[in-house]
Amino acid sequence: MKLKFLLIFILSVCLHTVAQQNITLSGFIYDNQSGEILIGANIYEKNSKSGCASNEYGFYSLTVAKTDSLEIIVSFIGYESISITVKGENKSNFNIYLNSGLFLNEVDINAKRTESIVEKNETGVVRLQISEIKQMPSLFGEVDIIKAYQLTPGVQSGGEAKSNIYVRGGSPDQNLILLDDVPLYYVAHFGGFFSVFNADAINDVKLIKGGFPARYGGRLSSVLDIRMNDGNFKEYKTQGTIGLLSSKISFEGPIKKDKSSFIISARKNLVPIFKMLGAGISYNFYDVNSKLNFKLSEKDRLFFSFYMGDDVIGLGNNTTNTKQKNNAAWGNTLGAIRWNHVYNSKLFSNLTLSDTYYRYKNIFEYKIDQDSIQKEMSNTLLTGINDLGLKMDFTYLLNSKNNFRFGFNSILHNFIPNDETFYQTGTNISTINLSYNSKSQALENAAYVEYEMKYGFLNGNFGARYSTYVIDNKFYQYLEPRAILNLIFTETFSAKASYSKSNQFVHLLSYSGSGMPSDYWMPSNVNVAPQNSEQYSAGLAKTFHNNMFELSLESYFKSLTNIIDFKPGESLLGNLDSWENVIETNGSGKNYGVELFLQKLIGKTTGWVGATMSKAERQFENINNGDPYPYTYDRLLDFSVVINHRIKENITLSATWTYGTGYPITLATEHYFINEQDVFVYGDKNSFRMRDYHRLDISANFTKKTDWGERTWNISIFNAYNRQNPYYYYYERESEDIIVAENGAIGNHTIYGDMKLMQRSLFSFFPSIAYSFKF
Amino acid sequence: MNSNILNVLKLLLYISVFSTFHSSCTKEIEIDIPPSKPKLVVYSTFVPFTIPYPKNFEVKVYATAHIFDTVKYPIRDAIVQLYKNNEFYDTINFYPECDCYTIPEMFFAEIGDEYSLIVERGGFETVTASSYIPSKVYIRDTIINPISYINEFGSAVGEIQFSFTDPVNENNYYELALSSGGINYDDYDSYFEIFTNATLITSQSYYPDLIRFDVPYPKFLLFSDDNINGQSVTLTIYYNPPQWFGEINYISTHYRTLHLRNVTKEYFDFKTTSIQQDYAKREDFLYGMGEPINVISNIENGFGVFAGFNNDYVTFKIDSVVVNK
Repeated sequence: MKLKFLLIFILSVCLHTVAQQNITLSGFIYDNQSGEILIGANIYEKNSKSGCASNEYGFYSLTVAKTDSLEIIVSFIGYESISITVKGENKSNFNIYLNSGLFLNEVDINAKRTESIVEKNETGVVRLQISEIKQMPSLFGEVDIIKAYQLTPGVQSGGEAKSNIYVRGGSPDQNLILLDDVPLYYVAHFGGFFSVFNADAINDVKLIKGGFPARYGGRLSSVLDIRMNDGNFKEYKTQGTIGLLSSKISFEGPIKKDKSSFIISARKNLVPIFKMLGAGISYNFYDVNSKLNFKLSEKDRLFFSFYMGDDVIGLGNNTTNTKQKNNAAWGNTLGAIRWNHVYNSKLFSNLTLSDTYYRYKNIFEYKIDQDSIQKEMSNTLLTGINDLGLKMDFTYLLNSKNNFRFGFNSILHNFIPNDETFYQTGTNISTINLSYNSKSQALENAAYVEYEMKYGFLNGNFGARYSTYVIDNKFYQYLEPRAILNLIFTETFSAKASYSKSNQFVHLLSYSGSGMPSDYWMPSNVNVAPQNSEQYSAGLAKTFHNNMFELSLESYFKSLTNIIDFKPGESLLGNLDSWENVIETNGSGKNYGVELFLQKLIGKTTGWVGATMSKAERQFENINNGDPYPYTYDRLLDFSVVINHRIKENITLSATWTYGTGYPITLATEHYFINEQDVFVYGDKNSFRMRDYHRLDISANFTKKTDWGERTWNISIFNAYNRQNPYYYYYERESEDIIVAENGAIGNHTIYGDMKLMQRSLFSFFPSIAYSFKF
Repeated sequence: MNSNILNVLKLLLYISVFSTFHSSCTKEIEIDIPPSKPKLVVYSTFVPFTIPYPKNFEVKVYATAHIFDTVKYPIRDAIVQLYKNNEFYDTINFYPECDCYTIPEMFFAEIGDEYSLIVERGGFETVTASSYIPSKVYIRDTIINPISYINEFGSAVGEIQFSFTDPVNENNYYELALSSGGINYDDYDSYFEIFTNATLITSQSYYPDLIRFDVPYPKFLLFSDDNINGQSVTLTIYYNPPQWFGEINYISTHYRTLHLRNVTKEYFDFKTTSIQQDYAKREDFLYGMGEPINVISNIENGFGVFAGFNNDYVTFKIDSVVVNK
C-alpha cells in the first residue's frame, strides 16, 4: 500500500515536469578509434545546465527545455572533450565519437562539466580506470583488477596473495561479481594469487559498497560490475603479455566493419612452477574471454559473451603395476546472450539470457595390477552451482530531472553441495559402490523499480526490490527498500545518506584451514534460511580544482543475520551425508566504520589516498561460547596510497603503499601433555592480533612505438623494502629424544625446549618483469 | 618471440620464485599472552579384564601450564576418588613405579557399571568425570597381506582386511589401531600409522584430506556407526611393514596386533579432536594453518579424558617375504 502511494506521488511530480515542452537527444557514445562504447561518458548542455551520463551499454538520453540551438559538451576521462552545437530538435540515433588521448600536461577546461562524485546519486561507489590499473605495480607481472580494488577504502584483501575482497566486513560470497551482467562465483587463480579477470578484455569496472540501487540484488555486501570490451569495430588488433607466471594474448576486430565485432582473450601459465621447484605436483590454470557484438540496426544490438577458466592441481604416481592420481580442479564457465533495444529516445532495454557454472572437483583414483592382485578404487567429490538466468531491465529517461529503471530477473539455481562417489573392487576384497547425491534446485525471482531525481539541491535514488526464492516447497519472500539521498549544497560539495535492505539466497562455505580453494556454494533451504542485511551510510563529497580531485568521507553501519559457517574442524571432503550436519547456522554480524577516499583523476600524476577505520564481528551460538568475536578479516585501520606518474609520453612510474593493522588470530594460551602429545588450549576466538601489515610496491613502464606496433616493458618490485608481513603464526618447540635408564630398563624420553611463537611470511622482496606488445 | 627474451624471463622467474619460497621468511614473534589459572588434567582409560593383556586401572594427573612455560610434571599429591554406580568405591593412591594413581589389587571395570572420578588438589578446582564400558565387538574373518601394493617410494604397503558386526540399536563408536605383537595400551609410540580408503573412516572430520599428501597418517582410526547401524561391515586398512632395502628388498618377520575397540562417545570425541588438533597445528606453507580446535574433554573443570572401552584384538605373525617391485 505504501509502495503504491509512493509510486503515484512520484509519477505526479514527473508528469508535471513533462507537461513543459522539451526536446530529447539520444544515442550512443563511442571511442572513435575502436568503436567501443564508452560507459559513464558525460553529456552536458551548456545553456540549460542539464546533463546525463551514458549507461552501461553506452546509451544516453538528454532531455532539455525546448530552445533554438543546443551547445553540447561531451567529456570522458582519458578522452578529448568535444563541444557540438546542434539545432534544437529531437534527435534519436545521435551517436557521438570521442578521441582518446587527453592532453596530460594541462587540465581539460571542460572537466568541470564532468559529472563528479558530488552530483552522482551514489554512495560507497568506487570507479577505477582500467588504464590506471594497468600502470600499477603487479605481482609476477600480472595486472589485477581485484588487487587494485583491495587498495581502496572499505575493501580488505584477506591477507597476502589473496584475490577475494572483503567489503565492509562482509565475506567473499556476499559480493555480487558480474561479468557483463552475469554472476561469477569464483574469481581467483593460483590459490588467490590473482583474479580471473584479464585486464586486456575489460572496458569498465565499478564497485558498489553500499547504497545499492534496486536493480542489484542477491548479495549483501557489494556489487562488482565488470563490463567486457566489445571488440574493435574498425580494425584488427592484437595485444599480448609475457609474464613470469602466465602469458596472455588478445585478438579483436570487425566481423563486418562498423556493424559487428569480436574479441577473444586467453591467458595461461606457461611455466610448471611446482615441478620446477622439485615437487611432484603439476599446477595449471587458464582462462578464455570472448565476445561477439552485432549492431543489427540503429535500435538493436546483440551480444554473445563467453568465459571459461580453470585451475587444476594434480599429483600422480605411476609405477609398472600401479597408477595413482590425485587431482583437484575448480573453475567457472559462463555464457550469455544479450539484446539491447532502443524503443524511442527515452526508453531503453536490455535482455540477458545466461548460464554460469562454478564447480570444484576432487578426484582420487588408484589402480594396481600385479601378479594375482588387482584392485581399483576411486573417490570423487563434486561441488558446484549452475545458474540459468533471465534478466530484463528497462531504463526510462523521462527528462534530465527524472529517470526510472524497472525490470525483473529469474534464476534457476542448480546446486551441487557435495556429490560424492566411492568405488572399490579387486581381488579378495568386497566390491563397494557408494554415492551420495546432493543435487537440489531452487528458483529465485526478483522485480524492482527505481526512481532517480535531480532537482538541484534535492537529489536521490529511491526504489524497492521484491525477491522470492523457492526450494523443496519452501517459499521465502522479501521486500527490499533502497534509498539514496544526495543534498547538493554547491557545485563542489554535497552530503549523502543511504539505506539498503538486502537478502541472499546462496551461502559460501570455505574451509579456513586450506590456502588452496575449498569454496562450497550452498542453497538456502528449509533448514538454512537466507542471509539478510541492513546497511546505513552517510557521508560528504567534495571536489577541488575543476573536478581534478574528488574527496569522499563516508560512515556506514551494516548488520547481518542468518550467516553460516563450518563447525570447527569440519569439512565436506569424504562426507557422504547432508552438508547441513557440518555447519553452524543462525549466525549474525555487525560491521561499522568510516572511510576517507581522496582521488586525483586528471593530469600527469594521478592516484588516490584511502583510509578506513572499521570494526567487524560475528556471533554464533556454538562458536566461542556464543560470545561475539572479531571477524577473521576485521582490520581496525587500513590505509593505502597509490601514485601513477607519467614522466614522459612513453615512461610511467607507479607506486603503492599499503598499511593495515593486524588481522585477528586465535592462539593457544595454555598447554598440557598427555601420552607425549602436547595438547594446546586455545583462548577466545580471534582474541589476538597479528603484526601490522605494510608494503611498498613500485613499477615502471617503458613503452616504445615500433615499425610493427608498440611494445612495453614492465618492471615491478613487490615489497620493495622487504617487509616480513605475517601470513600466519604457528608455535614451534624444539625437542630432543634421549635414551635413559630408568627403573632397571632402557627407555625413550623426549626433552622439550622452550615454546616459541613463529611468524611465516610469504613474499619478500620480489622483482618481476613482463613484456607487452600490441599491433 | 626472441628466444633470448624467453630465456631471460625464465631466469628471472627462477630467481624470483626461489627467493620467495626458499628465502628466510620465518621469525620469532613476541606477544603478550595473559596467564590463566592452571587446571588439572586427568587421563584415564579403562577396559574390562582382558587376557593375556590385562590393563590396570590407572589415573594420570597433570596440570596445565602457560603456553610459553615448561610443562609441569605429573601431580603426585592429588586426592583421587573412584565411585562405582554413584557409590564411593576407593581412594586411589599414587605409585611412583607407574607415575600414576592406581589400585594395586588388580581392579577391573565391568560392563554395565558406571564409574566416576573426583580429583582434588590444593590450588586447583576439583574435577569430576564419569564413564562406562560398552559391549565388546568381535573381529572376524581377518586376512593379512604384507604386500598389497608398492607405493611411489618403492616400499611395500601391507593390507589387513577384517569384518565385524555392529550391535543393533546402540550408538557405537569405534577405534582401530595396529600395534606390535604385545599391547601397551597407553604408549602411543607402540602403535603404527595406518590408513584406509573406506569412506566410513575417511569421511570423519579428523581424517587428513586426501590432497594433504605431506602429513603422516594417524595411528588411530575412529569412526561411528551412523551409517552402519546393525550391519556387518568389512574394512581394509593399510600399514607399512618393516622392510630392508638392498640387493634384495624384503619384508622382515614381524608381529602385528589389530585392535578393534568399541569406545564411549567421550573417548571418541577426545581422540578425534586430539588428532584434529595435531593436524591443524602443523605449519604448512601452501595451506597455512588449520583452524584451531580445542580437544573435547569430559573432565568437568579440567582437561583430559576419563573413558572406558572394550577391546578385541588379533595378533598376526608375518614371515619374511621378498618384495617384488
